[in-house]
Amino acid sequence: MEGFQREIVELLPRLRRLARAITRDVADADDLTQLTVERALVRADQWAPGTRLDSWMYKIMKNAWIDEARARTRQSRVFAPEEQGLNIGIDGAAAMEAHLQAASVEQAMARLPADQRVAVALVLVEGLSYREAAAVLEVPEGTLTSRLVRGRNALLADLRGAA
Amino acid sequence: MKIDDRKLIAYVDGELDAVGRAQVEAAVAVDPVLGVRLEEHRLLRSKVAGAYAGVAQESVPAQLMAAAQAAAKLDPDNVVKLADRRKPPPVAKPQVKVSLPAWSSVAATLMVGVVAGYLISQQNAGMLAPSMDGSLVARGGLARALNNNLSASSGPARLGLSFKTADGRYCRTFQADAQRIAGIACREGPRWIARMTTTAPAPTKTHDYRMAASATAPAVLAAVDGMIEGEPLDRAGEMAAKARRWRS
Repeated sequence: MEGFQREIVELLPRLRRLARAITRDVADADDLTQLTVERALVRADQWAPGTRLDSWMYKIMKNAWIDEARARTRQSRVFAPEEQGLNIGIDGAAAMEAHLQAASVEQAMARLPADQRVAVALVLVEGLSYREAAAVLEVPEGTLTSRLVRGRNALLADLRGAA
Repeated sequence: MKIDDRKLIAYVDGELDAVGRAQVEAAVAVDPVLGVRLEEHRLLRSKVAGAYAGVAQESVPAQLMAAAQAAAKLDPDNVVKLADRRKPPPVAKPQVKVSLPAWSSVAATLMVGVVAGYLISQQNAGMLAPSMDGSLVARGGLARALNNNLSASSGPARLGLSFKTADGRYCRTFQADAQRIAGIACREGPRWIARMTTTAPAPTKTHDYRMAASATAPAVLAAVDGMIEGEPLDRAGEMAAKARRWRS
């Protein structure tokens, strides 16, 4: 159990990163990460040692997020949440410009349909292979690649329009 | 052979076998439009990866860390109920602050030239200089290290790993600790052009496992991921490339 928990702690930075990519909001992302950790600890006996803990937790996060999204039925947000503004102001123009770049990627991600956004996040942000990402999403690989192609073409069109 | 988006994107993601890769490369060689599309998808991959790369470097919030660490001490029946998860946990350990500026997450996405002026004036005079066409060219100690040093050697500019891109160029990751910059430089003709730069993490005794495992900043690794073709060069590969003066 100790080792299991230590591994979860080591995964926290990556879990937060995935959550940030799929929830579009810093506070929501940390709530989702925490929910994921809690569910994982409750279900520790369902994890098969020797299999990948990260994939197992990504799957828990994906399911938790679907549950959460259903519960909230929230409208998609186009503008960056206010908290992100706090990140600006430390170092002037360069930081601002970099922020705008990241913000435009994040906003374009936020405009994607949820299933495409999660597929893009798993493969581009977390670096999973198609096989691994399809397993996390519990869909056939063909479905995953369709979502990746549609999602990425939409991102390209969006970012081109913004440039 | 017709290359559709699915195949082009699979190429960018490193999901094709040798035959598939050769088909894409052959098609790109004779179709400039396809080549542009390939570049767009490559850039998109590294932009998206870069936009979130910094999140993994932030210090984990105390509440989250406590949730992951404290639950073992509780009864299974006592595990925090989902509905209560916004309440602060009973033990919130103070976090060791990783000394990264909050904006380092966004700095991860800096592309060529975006902050050239800033970098030159603020930090790295002597390491990188803008050229006529707006690209950042490695100078001085950095250029010497890129030309001469093998990876993992020490010096004012350290080299992390060397690799080839799909178009056959040699690229190397670098980090200059004194100037707090890290990035990727690629050999173009006689020069090393910075293809991506970011703020290097200050040398610090962080317990972040990623930093311990690898001296290369995660944002840089994420960008490498979008550029690399095949595996990084091993020592023999680096020596051979150096002998050819890094020409493709």
